[in-house]
Amino acid sequence: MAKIMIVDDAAFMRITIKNMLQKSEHVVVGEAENGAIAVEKYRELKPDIVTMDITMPEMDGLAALKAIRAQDSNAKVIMVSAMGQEAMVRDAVLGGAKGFIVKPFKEEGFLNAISKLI
Amino acid sequence: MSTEESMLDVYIYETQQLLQSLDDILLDGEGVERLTEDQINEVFRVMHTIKGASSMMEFDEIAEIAHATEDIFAQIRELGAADSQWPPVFNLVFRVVSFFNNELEKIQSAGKPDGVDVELMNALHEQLAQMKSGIQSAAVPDMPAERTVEHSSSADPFTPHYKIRVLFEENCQMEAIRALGVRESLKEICPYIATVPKDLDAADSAAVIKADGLLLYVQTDDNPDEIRHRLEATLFLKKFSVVPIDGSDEEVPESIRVKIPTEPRAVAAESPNVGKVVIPAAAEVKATASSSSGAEGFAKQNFISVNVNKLDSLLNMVGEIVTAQSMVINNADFGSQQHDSFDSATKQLHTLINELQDIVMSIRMLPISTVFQKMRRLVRDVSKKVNKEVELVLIGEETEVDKNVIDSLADPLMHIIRNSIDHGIGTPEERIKAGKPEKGRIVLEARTTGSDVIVTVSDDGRGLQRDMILKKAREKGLLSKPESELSDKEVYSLIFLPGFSTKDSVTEFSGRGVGMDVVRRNINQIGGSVSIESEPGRGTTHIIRIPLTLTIVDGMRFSTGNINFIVPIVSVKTAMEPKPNDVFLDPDGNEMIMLQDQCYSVVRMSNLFHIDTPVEKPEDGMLMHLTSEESDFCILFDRLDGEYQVVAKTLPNYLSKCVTRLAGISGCTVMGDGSINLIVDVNNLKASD
Repeated sequence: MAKIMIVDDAAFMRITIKNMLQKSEHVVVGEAENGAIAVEKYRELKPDIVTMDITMPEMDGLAALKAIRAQDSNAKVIMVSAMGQEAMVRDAVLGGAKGFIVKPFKEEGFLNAISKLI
Repeated sequence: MSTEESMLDVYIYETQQLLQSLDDILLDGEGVERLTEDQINEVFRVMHTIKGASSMMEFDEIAEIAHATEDIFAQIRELGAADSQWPPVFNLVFRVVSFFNNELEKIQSAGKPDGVDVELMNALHEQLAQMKSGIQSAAVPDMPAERTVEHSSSADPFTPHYKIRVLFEENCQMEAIRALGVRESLKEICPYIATVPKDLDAADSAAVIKADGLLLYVQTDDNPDEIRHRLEATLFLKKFSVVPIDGSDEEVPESIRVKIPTEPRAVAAESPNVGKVVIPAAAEVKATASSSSGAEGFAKQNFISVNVNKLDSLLNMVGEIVTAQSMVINNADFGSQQHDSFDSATKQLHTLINELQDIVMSIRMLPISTVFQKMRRLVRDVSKKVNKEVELVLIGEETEVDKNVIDSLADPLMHIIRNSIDHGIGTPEERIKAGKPEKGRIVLEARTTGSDVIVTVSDDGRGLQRDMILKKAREKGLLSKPESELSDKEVYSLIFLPGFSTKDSVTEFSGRGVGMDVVRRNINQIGGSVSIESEPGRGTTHIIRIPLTLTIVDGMRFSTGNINFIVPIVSVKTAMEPKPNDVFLDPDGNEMIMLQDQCYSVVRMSNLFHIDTPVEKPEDGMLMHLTSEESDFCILFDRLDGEYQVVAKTLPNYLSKCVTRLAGISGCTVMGDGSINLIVDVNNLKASD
């Protein structure tokens, strides 16, 4: 059972992911709508896994990933991205993301991915 | 509500919000014929978000168009856009926004969007192609050249210990990057890694990996279980094998027999990559700034979005509390004695409930700018289409009104503004001849009076043309009085008659419903009224008046026969018992009464609604002097009951087909004693005579 923080600027995505997680044994401990808030909340909540949207205002997923990993080198961050921004996903992977999932995704694929990281 | 339904609601709501913000950016930008870097990033992000959400909801046609638009803005983000490219880009994105809004509407009403707009898609692709070819890329190589250099440098032979084969799941996407991820995860324990395909950044490597899987030859001092452990934690990895290599067992390809250290130096070579964007660096700077002001970041989140259904429930609940309160206060068990302590307690209760009511109402209040801003886009589109220049001035955007009002105002306002631009405002030449500025002006204003909100739409156009209106009304057989007898005001109000506008006079912009009669009906439905004033040659003003509190009514209860009515207190001037002969007949046989030297007509509730009552003579009943927008008049009824605060509910559907506001009834309410009372709409009461 993992503690998960959801980071995405779209409420739609946050709710979608939260719904998927609620059917699993994992717990959503927090949400953030941009990278800056994500970095703050990570410090406070210390989740086991973070799902991180790549494109966000204020601070994007890539910068937030790096800041979080600087805080905690064991941080497990999964990038969530729509098709087409390969360069940013690549940078994230090289920047320490444990993996990425591409939209659109279904519940099963998403939950499998999460369970691999625990 | 099922989860799927509410996800759809969230999707639609959020996407509409994004599209509105997009319209705002575009309207601002089009004025200066370019977008700032921030605006470009914003458009890019919005398209990316819409693409992601739409793909999750399986609205692929929307996702595809969003993708094509995103590509254009990715291009602009990196390499900019020439001055000449901006106008077509603006037009294209406006079209995209309209397309999305239409699709969302279709989804909301029918449940599925239409297919892709092929023409729009082609236009987007063409625009991108044009922009790409137009720009001489500063030949930045796709691949980091340095890596190849390292390959050919003289190096020690590399003795791999293990051969790893990795197969990714079908359709997991971006296989080459996943391969990169695998290599990254093994880096820590494997000082040397060689891959097949050799260069994971090559354009074709994804296809190779998809077909044949990924091969890694690694050298490690760690236990191979460490390798297996990390591979197991790789997302979308279907299967893998880790096989130890013995010099003699395994054929190790020549090409990899070169030491390729997995040191950060190779990683640094990634910077010349074309695909990279500037954002991260800038964002990192912002990161340090905002993490130190993290507290401010939290403070900003003072707003939450709430599902409107919850607010409706809350409002209903407050209404029920008001009714229950009245059941307690007016309880028959108490009789008529004085109960001081009880009275002061109920006073307190009343005060608290009023406060609660105010707060709940205020939660539902939104600034009217949400609907005013939509008009900016409308003015742009319509004026472009009819080749007129029109300026829209917004006043009083911060005025707050109930969400119901906002929802109901959009269509009527759009219709009125379309009319103004289509028919009201003249062509630039015409305007100059009339000594007006070339640019037409529409002023959209909102303000509150104590109990109402007043929205006016004024244009400085031709004004209503009496002759043209009369001609049309004559043609459609809508005239009931001789033309010469009609005042200007009466002529203007002809346009509100159903049947005044028909399809042939409707330009392509008029959407659902036809004509000002629909506008009037929509506004009446939320308890409001619309009127029109005009000065030929100078302009026209539409005035919409909407009551602020829609649901809880302070009313005077009265009855005729066995029917109970409530009339809003604001409409009541006085109530009295008429004396014999106070009520007299005018030459036409209508009942009238003189009050303070003024003559008012008397309307019998029993006649109006065909209610049986033993009360014949006025002196046996009661009279109330009511005031409405049109005129003042008096009603005659049987008994007066007193002042009550009631929760107005709409009539049940089957009733509202025949009994409408236009007949003088705006709704009903359930009283503390369980009886159902009809709420009178004073503005329409006499009209139904």
